[in-house]
Amino acid sequence: MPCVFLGCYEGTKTYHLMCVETKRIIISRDVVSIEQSKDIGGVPHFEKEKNVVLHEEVEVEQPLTFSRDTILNETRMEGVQSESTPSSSSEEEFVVSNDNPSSEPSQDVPRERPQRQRREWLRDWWIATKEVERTTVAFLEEPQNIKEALTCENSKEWECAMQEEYDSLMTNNTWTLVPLLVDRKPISCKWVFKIKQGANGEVERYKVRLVARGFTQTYGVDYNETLRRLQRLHLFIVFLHW
Amino acid sequence: MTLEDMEIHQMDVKIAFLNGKLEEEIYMEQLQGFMHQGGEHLVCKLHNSLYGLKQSPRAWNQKLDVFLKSIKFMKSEADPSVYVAQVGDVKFFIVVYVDDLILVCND
Repeated sequence: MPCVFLGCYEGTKTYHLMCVETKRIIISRDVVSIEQSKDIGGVPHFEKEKNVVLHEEVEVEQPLTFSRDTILNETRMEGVQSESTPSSSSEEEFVVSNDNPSSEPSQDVPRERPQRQRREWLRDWWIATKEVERTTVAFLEEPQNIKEALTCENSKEWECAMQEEYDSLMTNNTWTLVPLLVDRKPISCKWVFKIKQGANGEVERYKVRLVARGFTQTYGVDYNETLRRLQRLHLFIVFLHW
Repeated sequence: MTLEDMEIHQMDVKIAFLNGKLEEEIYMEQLQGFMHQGGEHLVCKLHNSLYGLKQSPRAWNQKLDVFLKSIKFMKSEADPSVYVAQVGDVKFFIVVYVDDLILVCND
């Protein structure tokens, strides 16, 4: 069914299209764009196969007015039925993320994951959410403070990384130890622990950084001026595009 | 770039913020886990910038500014993130965004 692409709305996963013949607005995700340029009445168009109605179609009373600027691309809608439905074979593709080390320590009891039925029109979103889940699991393993770092199972690595950071600060001559003046209050600092992951989620590096807690600084005492004018990002982008 | 037949090159500076020199006197507690034996009452007087300090970005920008001026770059009046230098017919431009630099020259 030939359609014109009207746009996508923020916060939804749908495309809004207008059917060329019936002048109806269709909200759907089952859209395939046609790369070649074809014009119907001077307007680029989309197509949707007739027998598929996935979502409600909204009747429009008054004649449609839309700006041509909203037409971003051309698409062809494709019926789901005409494709072979991805079934159990593709299910296996998504149950692989368990090879992450130490994410689940109790491996003697294999947990049954609930097999969820995937919505057909959301299948391209599925992989993305899986990725997010996996990164979140790894993220939770990072110690939040020095105590956690030195008691967790990777304490050797963390200790090593801390020593490395400390040594580099020392070689940079970042500070000298002095007695504190009576009227001054020292600012605090903390260690930040990060696991650097490779493309496949494997641990690449244990990274530790010392950060000063800038919010404990007092204006006029610990700092006076802060930022230079760095807001000219647009100019930077202009140069990049050149 | 094609107009004046210029070359473009992009770079970023590693650990930029740790390179800045501090103008203010800042005292910081000793680090957890690296306490000086017998000197627990001492504090760290910072010379170089650290992550998280209010003046870290400025300290870095100052340092870069001084360096670029020392190699005969001039800061643009209109936009302080652009530096220009000219040697004979060859023009150099540097655009700075914190620790990312773009170098452009017509040679």
